[in-house]
Amino acid sequence: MPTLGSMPTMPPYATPPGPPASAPVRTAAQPTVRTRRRHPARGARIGALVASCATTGGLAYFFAGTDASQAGSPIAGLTAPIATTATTASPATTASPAATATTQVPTAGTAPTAGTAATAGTATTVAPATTATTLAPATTAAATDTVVAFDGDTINTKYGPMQVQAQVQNGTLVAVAVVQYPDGDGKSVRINERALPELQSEALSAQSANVDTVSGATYTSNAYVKSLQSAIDEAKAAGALTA
Amino acid sequence: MTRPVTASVLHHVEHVMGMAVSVDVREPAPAPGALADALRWLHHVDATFSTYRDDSEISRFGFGEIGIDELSHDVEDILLRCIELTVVTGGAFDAFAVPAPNGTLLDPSGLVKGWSIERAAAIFEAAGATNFCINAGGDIAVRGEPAPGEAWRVGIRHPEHVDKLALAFEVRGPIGVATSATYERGAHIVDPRVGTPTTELASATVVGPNLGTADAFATAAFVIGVDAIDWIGTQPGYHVYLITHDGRTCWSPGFPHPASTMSPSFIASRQN
Repeated sequence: MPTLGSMPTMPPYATPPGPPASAPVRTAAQPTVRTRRRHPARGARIGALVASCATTGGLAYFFAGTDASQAGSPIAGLTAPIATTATTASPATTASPAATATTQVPTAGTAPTAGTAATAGTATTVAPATTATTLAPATTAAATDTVVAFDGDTINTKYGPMQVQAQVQNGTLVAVAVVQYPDGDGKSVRINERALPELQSEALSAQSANVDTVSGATYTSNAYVKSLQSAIDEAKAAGALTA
Repeated sequence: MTRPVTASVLHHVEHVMGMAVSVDVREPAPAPGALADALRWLHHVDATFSTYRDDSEISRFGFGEIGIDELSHDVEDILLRCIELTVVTGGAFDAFAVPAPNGTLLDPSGLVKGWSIERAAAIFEAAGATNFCINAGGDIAVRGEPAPGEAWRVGIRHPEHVDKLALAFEVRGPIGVATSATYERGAHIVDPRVGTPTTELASATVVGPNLGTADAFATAAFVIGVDAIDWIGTQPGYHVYLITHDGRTCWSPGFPHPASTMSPSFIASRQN
């Protein structure tokens, strides 16, 4: 079973020092209580750094003489080419039966709004499995548990119109689905001029893959925010959203 | 083959830090107030670290309005961690080189997003939750299992089609999954070492024990390009999956086995 449950621990700073249960939240307005000992050089280190940034344009300057100037070899000391190492590790034989199994899972029947939700890039909020869990009527849903959808304004972007839908249940926002996203056929969202033929033809449907959540930068654009805000406003105006 | 549908004991979507943050908690439920605490924390992070707000602590520091000694511990920690990450990534991640929305050259956002979600996860854990998934605009903190004996199924968004996946794989917590990509706003990830946008990759996904580090590493991997396959080998516990603009995918040997991926023919073509 592919798991990553036994990861090594992190270097210092990466992990918050202990569970923040005791004081997980500091509001911006509260004065900071300094209970932790500071290394005397901490401030100086940051100060030197910021000064260097202001004058040199960043830490990259420090690396210009070593790594960065070597075009095509971004990391010093690593000269071996990449893809061969990586791809020989590909579990080609195991991947394909798994793909067959998962893509056969019919999720649409159990999740009425999964079709809409699955078009969204905002992953968890809309990933089919999660949505099914939230929205499936089979789970002895009382009338108040009904999910009500509110469409946001359609916002025009340079790539095309974008519109999101807020899904409200029991007074709270439970999901955000993308009704329209800039460019359905992928042409105008193309990241550059080079095509992705294999990916285009072989891509999984987010709906059929039956995933719990999706990784990938999503709708952080202004159009998304504007449309979502209007949907939330509408839901509040209708009295459906109390949170 | 249908997986059992396990009800979430808590499911919430919050709009904060300019994105949708989704929380999906399975049994056991956290103590009351955990969600409110976590959300308050995220809004606090937004108010402190947003480079879109001139009144945030990070912006005021960047403007020179507040000094070193006035920084909160969180900001101090983040800045020092950013320096470490710059060194570790050979300058491919650099919070001090690329222009921020507020006009300064100080932008630790590439670490703050994952770091703040990691700490939000710690809030839920401290409240007794052991199985949950937090997705912040595509960066994911996973704990435990979605159901007993099950693994969380995580998809990686297809770089070109918003409703499709390039890959799906299974993980059990604790683990973080972060993706850097340019599909929505054009080529907007700048290589801090040269000051120009990167062009080789369409998407870079990093998995590892800490979401903050994974977030920064995803940015670094995106900047480094396919050579990141080798570079990530120097970072124990972290693994990378890359998609190039010309349709190739490759991953480091430790990346979670795909639960579902491209056809055998595509994999074969990739091996050439």
